[in-house]
Formats: sequence, C-alpha cells, structure tokens
Amino acid sequence: MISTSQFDNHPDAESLNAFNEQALPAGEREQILVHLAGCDRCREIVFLARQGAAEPLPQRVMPKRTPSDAKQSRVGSWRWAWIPVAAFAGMITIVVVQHGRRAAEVEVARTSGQALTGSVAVAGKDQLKNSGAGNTRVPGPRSASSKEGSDEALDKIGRGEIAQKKAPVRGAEEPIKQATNALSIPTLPEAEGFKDAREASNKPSVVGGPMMAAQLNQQQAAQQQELSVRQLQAARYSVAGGSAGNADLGAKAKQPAVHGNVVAAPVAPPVQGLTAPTSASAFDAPEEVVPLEKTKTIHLPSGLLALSAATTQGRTVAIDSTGAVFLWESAGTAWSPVARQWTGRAMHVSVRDSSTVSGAVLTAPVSPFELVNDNSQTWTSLDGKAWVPKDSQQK
Amino acid sequence: LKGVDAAPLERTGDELETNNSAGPATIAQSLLDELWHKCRASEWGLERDAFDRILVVAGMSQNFGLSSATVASPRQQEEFFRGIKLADLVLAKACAAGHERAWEHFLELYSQPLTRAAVAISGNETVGRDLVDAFYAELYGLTVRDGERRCPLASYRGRGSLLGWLRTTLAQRHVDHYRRTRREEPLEDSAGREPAAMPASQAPSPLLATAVEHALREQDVEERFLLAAYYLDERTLAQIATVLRVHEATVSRRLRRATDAVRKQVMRNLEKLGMSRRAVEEALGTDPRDVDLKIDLKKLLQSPRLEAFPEGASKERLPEGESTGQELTSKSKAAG
Repeated sequence: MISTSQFDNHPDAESLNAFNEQALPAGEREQILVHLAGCDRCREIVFLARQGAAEPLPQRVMPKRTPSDAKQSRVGSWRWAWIPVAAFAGMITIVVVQHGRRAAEVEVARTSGQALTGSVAVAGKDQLKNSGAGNTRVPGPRSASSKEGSDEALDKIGRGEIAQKKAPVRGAEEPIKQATNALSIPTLPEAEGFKDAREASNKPSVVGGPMMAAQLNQQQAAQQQELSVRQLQAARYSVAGGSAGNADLGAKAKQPAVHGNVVAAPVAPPVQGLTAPTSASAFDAPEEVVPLEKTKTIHLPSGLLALSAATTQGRTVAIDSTGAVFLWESAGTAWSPVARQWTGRAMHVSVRDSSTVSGAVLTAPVSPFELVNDNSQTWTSLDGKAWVPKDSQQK
Repeated sequence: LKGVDAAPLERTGDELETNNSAGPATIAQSLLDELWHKCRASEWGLERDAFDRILVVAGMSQNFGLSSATVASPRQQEEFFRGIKLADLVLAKACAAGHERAWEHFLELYSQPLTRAAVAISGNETVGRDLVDAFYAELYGLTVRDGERRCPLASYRGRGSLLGWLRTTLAQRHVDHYRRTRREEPLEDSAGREPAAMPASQAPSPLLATAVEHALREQDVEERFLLAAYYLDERTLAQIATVLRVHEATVSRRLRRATDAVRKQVMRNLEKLGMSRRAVEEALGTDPRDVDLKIDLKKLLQSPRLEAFPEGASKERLPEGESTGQELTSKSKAAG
C-alpha cells in the first residue's frame, strides 16, 4: 500500500456519493474501492459524508413561557386533582355514615333491644287470638328493608323527628335464637299476626341512641309503655300454649317459668327484662308474673308512667320517663325513690340472669338488676338500692 | 439553459470518466411526457421545454449510461432515466442555469439539511456555518474559471441523491480546506526545527518492507480498504460497517481474517527472500511503522493469536473529524 498523496485524480463527488449510497454497479464499485484503499483523502471524504448524513436531531425549540403560562401550567397540573380528592372525601363520608349506623344499631341493641328480648315479639292481642298460634315466633333476621329502615330512621333522628315504634334489632334476636335451640322448640309456620308484626317491625323506625334519649318526652314514654304492655301480653299468650296445635310448643315454652326467678317470655334469653309492673299485688304471685292488665295503669310516685321495670326476688325496679328510678319491695307498701348513683339518664332496667352457662339455663340464679343510661353505660345492683358500675364490678 | 454542459470540477480517472461523445439522440415524446409528470418540476415553476432540454442534454452527456460507441434505444433511454434521481437532476441543472424558482425550491429543500451536514462534518458549528456559506457562494456560481462562471451543480449527474452529493461535496471542500490550511505554520514555530534522525538500530529491514508490501497487494481490495480504514484512519467498526453497509460483526470477522492472512503471507514472503525462520521472527519484532507503511503491524504481526479488535476499538477515535491520513502518518512517525 502506498501513500495516497501520489493520486493526481480522484473520483468526483458524484462517484463517491454513489459509492456511499450503494448506487454503483459492481465493476465501478470495485474501482472506487481500489482507489479508496490507497487514498486517505477520498476515504476521509467518504467517512465524513457518512458522518454528515447522520445528522443530529434538531433541538426542540420551546416557546418562551410567560408568567401567565406558568400560572396556567400550575393550575393545569392541579386540574385533575379533584378526582382523588373527591374519591377521598367520598370514602370519608361512607366511613362516617357506616360508623353512625353501627353506633345506632349498638345503641338500639342496648337500650330497646333488651326489653324486646324479654317480651319477645310484638303482636296485637287480637291478632294472636285470631291466629291461634300462640307461639313465640321471633322476628327473622334483619332484612334489607330493615336496614333501609334503619337508615331512614337515622335520617329522621337527624331531622329531630321522634320515634313512634321500636324495631327488633339484631342484639335482641340472637339470644332468642339461642334459647330456642336450647329448648328444642321447632320452627312453626308463621302466623298471620306475627307476620304482620314482623313486617311492622321491619318497617323504617327510629332506633334508640343518645340522640333519641335526649329527645324522648312524656308522650313517647306513654307510647312505649303501651308497646311494652302489648309485648307482655304476647308473651303471656305464648306461655299459655296458644292453640291446641301448638300444645307441645306451649309445654316447652313453659319451661323457663320453672326457674321462677324471672318474669320472662317462654323462650327466655339469658338477659331478661320486664317492663312496668302495675302494682304491688302484681308481685305477689309465686311465679312473679306481672298482671298485664295492670301494667297499663301503673303510676310511679313521680306521677309518670313507668318506662322500664324489672323484678326479681320480690323486688321491682322501675324507671319513669324522666329517668327517675323507684324500688318496690315485697315488704313495702309503696314505691321508694332510689338515690341517683349513675351518670346520665336512666333509660332501661333489666334483670341479668347470671346462671346461664354455655346456653344451658340453671336454677337459683342470683340476678342483679341492671340499669342502662342514655350513654349506654351499665350499672348493676343486687337489691335495687345500691348501684355500682358494671365495669368496676367485673374488675 | 446556460452551463448545463459544464464539466465536473475535478477530473476523474479514465475508468470513471463519463462519455460525452455520444451522438445526437432523440427521446420519445411519450417518455418525456411521463417523466415530466413524474418529476413534478412544474410545481416549482419549470417550463416544459426547459425540462425537455435538460433531459436531452443529461442523457446525451452520459450517452444514457452506455459506452460511447453505443446508440441508446428508446428502451435503454427509459431505463437510464428511471435509474437516476431525475427530479434531483432536473433541479440541479435548473439551479446551475440560474433558474430563480429552482433556487427557491432548492433552498427550501436543502438549506437546513446542508447546514446540519456541514456542522456534522466539521464538528464545529462555527466552522460548519462558514463551510456552508462558502459552499453556497460556490453553488451560486460566484467562482469564475477561465472567464466562465462555474457552478458545481452542473456536474451532478443524478447517480445518487442530490443531498448526498451535496454532503460529499461539502466533505471534499472541508478536507481540501484542512489540507491547505494545516500546512500554514508560523515561521517562529518551524524555525530551527530539524527532522529527527532515525536511529540506525531501528531502521526497517528492506526485506520486511518488500514482504509486507507484497502481502498487502495480494489481499482483496475490500480487505485492503478495511485494513486501511481500521489501522490507518483508525475508523471504528461501526463507521466502516456503515460505509460498506454490512454489520459490525462482519467487519470484525473480515478484519481478523485479513490480518491473519497478511501475517502468514509476510512470513512466507520473508522466507522466500532467504530469511531463516528465526530471522523472520526477529524481523516481525521490528516496529512495522518504521517501514513507512503506516500500519500498526507490530501489534498485527507479533501475536499469533491476535486480538484484532481491542477493547474500545469501536469508540470514536477521530475527534471532530480533524484527523487525516497525513496527520496520522506524522503521528506514526513521531511515535516511531
């Protein structure tokens, strides 16, 4: 190989370009290659031409940004921020609503559900008679309509409306079911009266809770008193055995009465309650069943009707609509007020059966009274006079 | 159209010289009509009769791609025109003739690509813009030779794309300019400088020089081009592969094969020249750059299992395109 400086003639740009673009025939390409192998100038030209063909990408010319553009850009960058914000707000709303519903349900279970548990189902006396099915059919599981009713009730509470009816709640159903299973009570065909009652209970209603407790007035108390009486009547008819077709059920349903310590429905739950004994004579009965006819007319020393009452071992504790608590002892002749030892407003009193173990009902239980205030706090008492918070007692 | 028949600026070899001695030929009117519509030269304002004249002159100057003794048939004429970049050719000829609308169209098409190519070739934006400005002046026909205005576009024959031709011409101008200006050195720098004498112990063996020269000449032309581009110009495999339109791996494989063949051939040549095996091995230990072959044959020939492409061979080794063959030669000599 010799130096290319000796080359006098070089291929012109046309030929070199054609060589670069592979546009030359084989023979002419060979001649160009021979020249290129010995001519560094033409090799340089060929490589530089290829280098020039690989043009750098043109730089993007960005328009100058004005302050307004920058502001718009900042705004534009937040343009879609409302989506996650709205989603987050929606989630928060759902959580709050669900929490409110759950709290309301728990409140219902604690305040009104226990009373319904003792008296079981709500049904009209006439309907029970007509149906002839004197069983203690309990309301079925909460249906969707019931839940919707609960939602609606929450709305009503929010608007300050007052409850007119009480609906069965989950907390009241479960103990009844357990007792039913323990007593081997077969599931009976649903009587018309109970069906209507259950439908009525599934209708939207106002449930209990702090808000409700704060708004209860005398009229409500009277209505609730009437409702409790109807429940007791239903329970009584259930204990009586109902129709002949349900004789077996009636016999089994009487079993809880053997305990003799609680005035309760045939399918007595572990926690039993009694509403509004009417007079002292009502507690003279050995089985401590309150005469239902007299419950309508019971008047406490405060001049008000009893909102809730429970009796055991010859003692009856009652609460009027203002939250005042009164005690009736079998040896006494009148109601005596009980000193306030709890906070808030007493809403409900019941008798707790502590003898229930693993679903079995034992005899001779010591059943202290149990009082629930409007904050769902519970106090207990053995004699109805001295009350202690339930939590401290457990400790 | 003036200047259509202007000769190329550079003389080419006999084998590359185009034949301008073709006799008068006529082009079928139907072919001209078809090419007129295909070329779409009317969009930038070329008249039909000017278009016809450009085609006739271009075909006759190249004898339609045939040898000088052959008269092109209409079919051969058609094949010729279909084989060239006709639109580019017409535009270049019209520009060379001073057609104003053609120049507008030319600048619209090639102004920016030409500037970018000049910057890429020179490796410097300032130098590139100077280069392209000077090239525009030349294209406009400001260069007068022998009293006649000369336009390089007149030498364009449409064998390749006009843009490629422009880039190649730019590269030519850049290399020529560099070669002219690099010799201009201040007197104070060159004064008192004497060429270093080569030590007698490092003087290349005349037998080795002869053996290497013969070995290289026996190589295939493409292998010689590969060896020269890789070892002399220090081009990367990617650059060589781009020019030859093959894969880098192919270039690497062929280079390794060529170096092995050259080494074996050099040893055979030396033995033919009467050297013993041991003397051959000693001779191969001599730095081949001293043989004035400008080839790094020391590395090439000393190792029997040569790693033909050391690490980093594919890197760009010519910064800003300023290394030319002569520069490399001087470097090699200085290193030797």
